[in-house]
Amino acid sequence: MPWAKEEDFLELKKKFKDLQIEVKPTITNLHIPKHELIELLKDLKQMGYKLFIDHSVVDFPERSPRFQAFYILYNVDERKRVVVKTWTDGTLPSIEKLWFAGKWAERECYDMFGIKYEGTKTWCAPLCGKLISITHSGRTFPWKVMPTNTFRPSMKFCGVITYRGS
Amino acid sequence: MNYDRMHTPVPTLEDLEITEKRRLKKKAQLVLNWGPLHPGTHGTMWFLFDLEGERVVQCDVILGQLHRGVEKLAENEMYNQFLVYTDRMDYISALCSNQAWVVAVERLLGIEDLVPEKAKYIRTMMSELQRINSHLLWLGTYALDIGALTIFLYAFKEREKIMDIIEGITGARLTISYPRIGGVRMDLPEGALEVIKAFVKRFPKELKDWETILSRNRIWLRRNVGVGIIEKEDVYYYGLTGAVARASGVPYDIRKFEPYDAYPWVEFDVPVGENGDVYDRYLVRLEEMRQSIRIIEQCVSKLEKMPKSAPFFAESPDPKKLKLSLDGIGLKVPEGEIYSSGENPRGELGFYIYSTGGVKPYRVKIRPGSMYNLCIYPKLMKDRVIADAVAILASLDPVVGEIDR
Repeated sequence: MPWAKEEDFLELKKKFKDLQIEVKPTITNLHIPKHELIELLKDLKQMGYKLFIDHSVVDFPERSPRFQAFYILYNVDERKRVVVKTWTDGTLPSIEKLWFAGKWAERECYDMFGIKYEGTKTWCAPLCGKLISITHSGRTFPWKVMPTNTFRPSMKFCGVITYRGS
Repeated sequence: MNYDRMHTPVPTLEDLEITEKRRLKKKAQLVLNWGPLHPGTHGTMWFLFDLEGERVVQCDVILGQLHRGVEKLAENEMYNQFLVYTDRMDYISALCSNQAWVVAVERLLGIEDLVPEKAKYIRTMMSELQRINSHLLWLGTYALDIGALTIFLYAFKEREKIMDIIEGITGARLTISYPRIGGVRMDLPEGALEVIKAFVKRFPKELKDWETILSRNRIWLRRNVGVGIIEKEDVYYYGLTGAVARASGVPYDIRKFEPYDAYPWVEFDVPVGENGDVYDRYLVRLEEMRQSIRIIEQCVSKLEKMPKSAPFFAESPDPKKLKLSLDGIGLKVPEGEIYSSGENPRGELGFYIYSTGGVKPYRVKIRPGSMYNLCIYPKLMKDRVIADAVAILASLDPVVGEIDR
């Protein structure tokens, strides 16, 4: 399995004192507080983890902070993968300046869980729009109950659900 | 009964006014709607082109028409039950999606080594057949979009043969669900390998004929060469994978980087492009079909040597702790998390599974290759003419079922 090892991040450990490295047979996680997330991601990108794979959150309604966000990155030259994790109660710094693909992942996450991203200009809910209530992927959403009379009028697309090209 | 849900409300005058005002603020006055139901979009996808004459000033992508909440459904289904939803994501390469899912769960269970060799070879062979099937659909529709109708007919003729082979082996043509966690649903039927051998023998000749028609055709070259160039750095910045990344010179192939099933035991090459334009993506996919043929040949020769009685499904070392069965009922997965991915024809299909123990996953995040490959489309369309829209989109080869999930 191509997961990064603990010794790959010893330099980072010196820079980020709150960084926790968790190595399991099936995954390697880097736990970092939210305020240091962007700095860590920038450093990882410089280290070669520059291919953005994915980003989303896991919802733990009974816990505080409620959401655990994860960012999966890949080092193409050394063939290693790593997951960066942080906890949040509903806001995260935007990574769209680091990876454009992150913008699409963030929009989806906003749509599914209602996570708000700081420093982004785009506010769209790409997959559902007004079809069903936002945050329907959250654990507490009563998924068998579909709200009625909320279908999206076809003319209401403008600025609501578009991915802006520029 | 409340019929409100059945009807789309008619937009009011107020809605129209809001839309009109927003439209006037845009950069260009002429707006071209492409989709959501248009043969060129290859699915239910909607594009808006703000035009200045023929030139595209800005392109917007509107998604969500095919969103079914697959990730949310996964939390309420057992691991084997979710298999059928993976069919319906990238419905053109259902077997590859099935394989990626079962491998992810097997890795989480730690039973990847318990899966019989025969099952691994069958899964690999079937996935490669599906890859050729998927690339043939891409080639046919892509050529049709650009105006080469004959290739569409040739490609679909060959594709039909693969569909028949898959139907003969699995019983289904489109949504297949043939692999299972621990192996495959059933053994290969009598004569399946002979049919595959006959197909594999004939197919490279067909491929060569198509190349002769297309690759040096003047119209084909002018429509494809130098169009939609993706730089190497863009691959990382936009999270591109699959043939799109490889055509730009990034040799990112999960079958080599993180081999699963029988991929570590078979020989094949990863084709890589130089310029990263539409033409390179076309060449890379053609070469991928040849490499798939190589893999299938090796799998067939290996499967021929295996005894008929060889197992095709894993046996649990301790049935009380780990219940492995074809229906998957009662399969409990221990606490843990994993990110595992497979090389789909459209890029990396990854599954992040978070399990708190039990028969259902706590959270499943699907990493769709098509979605991230599509996110570069507005950039590629900037300052291009409308005619390039079909060529560039077809070269990215998106499937909306996977993008929207």
